[in-house]
Amino acid sequence: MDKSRRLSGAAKFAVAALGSSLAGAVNGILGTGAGTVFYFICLVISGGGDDRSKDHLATAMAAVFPLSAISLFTYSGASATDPLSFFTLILPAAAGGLAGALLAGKMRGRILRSLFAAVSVAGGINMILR
Amino acid sequence: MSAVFDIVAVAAFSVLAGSGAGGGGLLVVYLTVFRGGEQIGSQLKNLAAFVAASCAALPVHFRARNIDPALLAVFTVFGVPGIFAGSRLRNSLPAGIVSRIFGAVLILGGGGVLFGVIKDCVRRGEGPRRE
Repeated sequence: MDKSRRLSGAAKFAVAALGSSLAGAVNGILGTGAGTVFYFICLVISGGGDDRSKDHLATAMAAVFPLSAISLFTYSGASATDPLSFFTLILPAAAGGLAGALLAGKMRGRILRSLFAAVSVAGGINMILR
Repeated sequence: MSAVFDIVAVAAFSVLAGSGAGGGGLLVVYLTVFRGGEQIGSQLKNLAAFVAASCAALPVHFRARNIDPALLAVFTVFGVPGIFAGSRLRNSLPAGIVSRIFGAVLILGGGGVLFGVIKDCVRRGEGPRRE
């Protein structure tokens, strides 16, 4: 059954609004985790399924971008890390991000979902252990 | 040599981030456990790497029309105030407990997605045998 048919437009908006506030709060407190919340909101709104996995993951990533940029500024005052050390990260990170986006276009949704699940579980274990 | 490992690690985690699979803070684990970095500084580097990776990846996803603009607008409008609230709460909440609770949620959520993928694979595997 298509779960999305059970949600009205107003209910979808409410889920997206409340969920994204929660995602923002989680990212503000822990510095990570918003992408997972956004992905699950997309799943709830669309009713799940494999066919739109790429869209859900890409939308979640796009939504995390401004949140991470803001978190970067709110966190930057809390650390004495040498700003120069960030410049060595930027080029490999950008190259990796571009390669990831191009690879995602060629991957099956199922494989992307499996990767996402594995990263979520690993991230969860990290949060419990740290 | 350690700089080479850093570059490879950042690039590898950024491939995951750019694909949409996320980072899960795994770069933080690498920087704290294997490189002996402090927690906040490592989280900051993880955020910087994610921002750079998504900057490079987003035009590709937009061009492929993988991003829902309406949903993205709602996520951004309601997510940004949430992040300021979270930042204020960071010092007053027991971060260890919040981290553990959310870690459990991630494991359950990720496990659920993985279970769904396995179920799909089994279902599709059964198809041809029935024919």
